[in-house]
Amino acid sequence: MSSNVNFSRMKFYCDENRCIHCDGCTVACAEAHELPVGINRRKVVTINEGKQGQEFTLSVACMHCTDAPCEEVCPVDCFYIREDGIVLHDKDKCIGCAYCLYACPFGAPQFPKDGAFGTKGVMDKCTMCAGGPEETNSAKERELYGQNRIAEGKVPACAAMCSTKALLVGDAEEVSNIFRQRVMSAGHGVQSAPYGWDKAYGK
Amino acid sequence: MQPDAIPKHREPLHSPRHDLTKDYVSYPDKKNHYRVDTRYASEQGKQDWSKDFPINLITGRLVNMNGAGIENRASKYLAALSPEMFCDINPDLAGQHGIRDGEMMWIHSPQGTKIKVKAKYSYSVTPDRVFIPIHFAGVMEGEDKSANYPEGTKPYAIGESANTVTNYGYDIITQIPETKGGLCRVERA
Repeated sequence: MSSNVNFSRMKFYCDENRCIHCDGCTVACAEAHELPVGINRRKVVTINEGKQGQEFTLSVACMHCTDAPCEEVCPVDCFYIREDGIVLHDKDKCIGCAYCLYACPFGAPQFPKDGAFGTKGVMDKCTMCAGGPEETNSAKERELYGQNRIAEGKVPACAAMCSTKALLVGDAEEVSNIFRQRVMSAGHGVQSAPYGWDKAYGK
Repeated sequence: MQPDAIPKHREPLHSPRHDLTKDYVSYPDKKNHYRVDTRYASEQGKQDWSKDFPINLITGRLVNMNGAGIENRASKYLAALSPEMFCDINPDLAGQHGIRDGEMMWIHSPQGTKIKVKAKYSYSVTPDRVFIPIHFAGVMEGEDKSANYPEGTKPYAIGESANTVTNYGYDIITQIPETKGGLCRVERA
């Protein structure tokens, strides 16, 4: 990245004012990549359910960190970060030690296989629908990492499914532009956030 | 035909405020309402229903399901998200009845039916009401009836049907059942 080119960085952002915990992203992801039941590359989390003013709902997956802790701790260096910031890993190198699971602040790494004496199979995580190190759109990539939608110029399945457009994905600059526009237009013009109890009836 | 020229408030047949049913009485009973003799005021005034059944019973949809449930529960990913029937109950109300989070509880209806569901502590309901989702079927009053599904059609998730305990009451024009305004009694199982 020593050149003068301003590389884009791909980022997820979930707007907690819009997320309604419909789990559409979770199901879209599982369906798109044919994940086993119980493996959630993306999860929706609600905290303080029903407590007025304290309830938050967020959709969480791998956040594709700039300074990814998983990559730092991996003893076999199976992680690599693409030019555009997408954090991917090589399943052929992964030894299933689960260090990345301890390092990750979002709980993104998933372990679909379980073995005797607490051993784990290779790790599986959100790829931002960008596949893996195998040949793009090859059968092996499809089998190991799921769809490669980014290579086809498509939005990742979760954000494409999001019915309230809470989940944004793309070039970090574009995502922040969209969010800034939402914040600026809140309260006037076109209604940009759904009405909650506070807005309708007061605190 | 409009029963009220201007819609006015009428208390539900099974009202949690029996004192209000005198001032806001329901419609007179309707004979041959789509061939059924349907009770309104007589059912409402029969007794103080809220005495034995003090808790509001609310039914509704879950946001991750779209239909009534039979298709959704046959999807493995959706069934993993809502694997069983539950009841949203405020921890304060649950505490009064000794019901713990994640334990089974009975919901009794005024017409004598009951369902056995898992208690889910939630502050999204106030202590005077409980919420149950409408999506489940396959269990009847604590008894698993899933063997009756035709072969190969049993969904991944089954549970008590909310309709077992929704209260008596029908719309005055369309005869649509009243599923949202009912009463119940809860008890730990």
